Amino acid sequence: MSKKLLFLVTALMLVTLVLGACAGEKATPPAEKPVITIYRIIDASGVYASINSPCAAALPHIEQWINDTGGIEGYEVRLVDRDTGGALEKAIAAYEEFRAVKPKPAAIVFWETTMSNEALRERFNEDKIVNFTQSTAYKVLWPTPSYNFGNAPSYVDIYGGFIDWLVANNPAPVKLGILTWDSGFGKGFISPETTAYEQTKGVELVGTELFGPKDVDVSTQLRRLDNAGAQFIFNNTLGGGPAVILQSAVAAGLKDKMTFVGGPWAISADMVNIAGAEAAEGYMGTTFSFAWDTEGVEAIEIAREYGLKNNLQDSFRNMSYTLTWTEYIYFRQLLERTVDAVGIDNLSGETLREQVIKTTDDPIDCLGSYIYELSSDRPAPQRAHLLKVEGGNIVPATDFFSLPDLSPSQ
Amino acid sequence: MAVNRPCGVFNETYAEDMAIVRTRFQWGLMIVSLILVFALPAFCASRIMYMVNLIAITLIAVLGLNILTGYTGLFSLGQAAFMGVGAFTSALLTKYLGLSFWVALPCAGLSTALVGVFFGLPSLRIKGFYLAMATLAAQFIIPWLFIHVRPDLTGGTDSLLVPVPTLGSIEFNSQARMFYIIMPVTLIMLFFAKNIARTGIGRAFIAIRDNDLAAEVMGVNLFRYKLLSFFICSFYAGIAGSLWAHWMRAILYEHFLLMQSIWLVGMLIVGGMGYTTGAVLGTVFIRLLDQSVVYIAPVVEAVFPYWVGSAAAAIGPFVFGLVIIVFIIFEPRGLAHRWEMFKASYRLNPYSY
Repeated sequence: MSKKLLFLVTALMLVTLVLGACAGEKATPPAEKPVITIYRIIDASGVYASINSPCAAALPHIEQWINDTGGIEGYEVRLVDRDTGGALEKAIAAYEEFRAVKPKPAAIVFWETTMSNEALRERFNEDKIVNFTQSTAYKVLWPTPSYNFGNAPSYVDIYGGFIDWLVANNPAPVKLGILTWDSGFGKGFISPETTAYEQTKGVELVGTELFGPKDVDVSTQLRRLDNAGAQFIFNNTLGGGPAVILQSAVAAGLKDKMTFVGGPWAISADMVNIAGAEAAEGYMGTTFSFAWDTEGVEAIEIAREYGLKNNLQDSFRNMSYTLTWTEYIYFRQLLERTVDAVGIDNLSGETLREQVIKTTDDPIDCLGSYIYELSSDRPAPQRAHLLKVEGGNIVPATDFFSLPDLSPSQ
Repeated sequence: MAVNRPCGVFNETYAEDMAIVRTRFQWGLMIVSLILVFALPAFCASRIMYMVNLIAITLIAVLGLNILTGYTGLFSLGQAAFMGVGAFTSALLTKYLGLSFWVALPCAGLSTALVGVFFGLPSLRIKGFYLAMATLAAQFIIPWLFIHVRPDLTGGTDSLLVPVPTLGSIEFNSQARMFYIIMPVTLIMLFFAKNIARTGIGRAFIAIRDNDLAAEVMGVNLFRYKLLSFFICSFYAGIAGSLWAHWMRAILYEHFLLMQSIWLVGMLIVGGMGYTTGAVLGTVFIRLLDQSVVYIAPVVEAVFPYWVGSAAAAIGPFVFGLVIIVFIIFEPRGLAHRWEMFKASYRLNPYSY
């Protein structure tokens, strides 16, 4: 290769790099009719890839559906995704990119790690941009008032709901063990309020054991909890997390001795695949979504129709996909209310936030798949149900119920 | 350096001989560059400013590593953990003791330097692969301490919120404002890093790198200089960590794990060990490459949907690994060497020699 050619290639490569790294979301070009853009920052290929990949696949289908059915108050909608692979640096870079767009986004859907949410929480407040997050650890959502709102019930409330179910369906004394990830997410439900709630309800917490997201065996922790008399094991993990617990339980001969229950992200088709149907049998999750093949729920039927129409790959036909639909149906209605109330020109983080907290009095029904009612002090939805693995499938174990308010004292 | 001098320019004093900036043209270029750099926030979006800040902070850590690895020949896999020490020191001092950021910044550097010296002690007995393993211990021990020692103060596995730096009534709460802290500090650190190689200390480091036995025979005190190298390297890491903490405004042990240390070493390899320019080029190149992946990945995914699927965005580490292999095979002296060759070629053009 001649020197000139080498120089040319190097120069081209550098220019591509600089342009690529500096590339950003362009401001919406002036048009006769504005386009409403909803930005999302998501870890679709990093540690949360197992649950977020189908969420990424859902976006173009949802955009198609919204625009097929009249957009938002007649305005065309564009859904923009930025996959960060779970890297904090990239998540913040994407945030800086989106917040600089003119006009400033009213909201950013921020489906990132708890770590990234904690890092950006105050910036959402300062920039007055609503953060729609799936990371509902109490340190992300509280203190209130703030611009950070959960798309899913908060981990503390979810845990409270699980305690309610535990007490209502099992004879006292109930002995509970916690086996969860040693991370902000994994321990996101452990707070003074949840501990007090266990005691009030008469649940005896016999032990709390932790493990790392990369650990492949937790039989030692399980044995300790077994020795302490735990009948139920609660975890707040996802993907491989519950699978490791279940496989370790099988290996330790404890699978039939205990009931295993998880938080909102701890039950999924992906998890069943990793653990194996046999190990996952009977496993439960306290969550707020429906399985892909659920019949009789309008939102899920629309999701299925668009998924099939767009040849959604088989492995993505699961709860993560349908859950994304539920949440964007909520965003759509929220934006419709805001545009209806203040007009497209006044659509901002502040006006959108007002509509979010108005859902306390006027909840948003996501076409039968979920109901959102949030307030300034309780910035996450308040209903959940338990799902169960039966014969390798995920089926509802209970109807939706209201979650107790375990908001942290401020 | 003589080879870089324009034709007809001669040194007449020792000061001229030692100068980094030698001609009026170079002075002019430097002043214009500085003006342009400090005017960046006026015409760059916050996303670009974010990138500049990220690169600048990373550069400080890589410069420190260059002093240890590039100049002294001691290998460390603990630079990210040392950054963590600086970050937590600065955060704890400002958050709980109410100290100003301006006080916490040097304290962070000094405390990290002491921790670095402690983990550098094995370098007196071992080197190469074994020293890398010893410094790896720092990468396991330090994050463990962040999580388990006084988690009520450090946040444990939750993020620790860090106060925004202030100067009078000015709050440094945006990318543009933080730039005016980060960039001057980076330039100062760069200046010292560039100069250290030209001092007696720097020459002792280089002597140790080239042959430590010969250096000792020549009177270089290995004990002193090896630990001094760790001290300076960790000081740089501590400063970078402190800036990181106040720029990020929330820190967690996960920001300072082994993978980050490997990235820092990778930047140095790609840039070229033993060159200050190499640290700059390597940091800029790898950081831009990493950020570019976010935009290149969807294109790759669209072109090869069945090959990479939705994992395209995760090709960052793949590309990073590939780049390191390519550089080790084809340009082990890094981008800095390529840059030197380019300059020489440009200067001599159209002659070959």
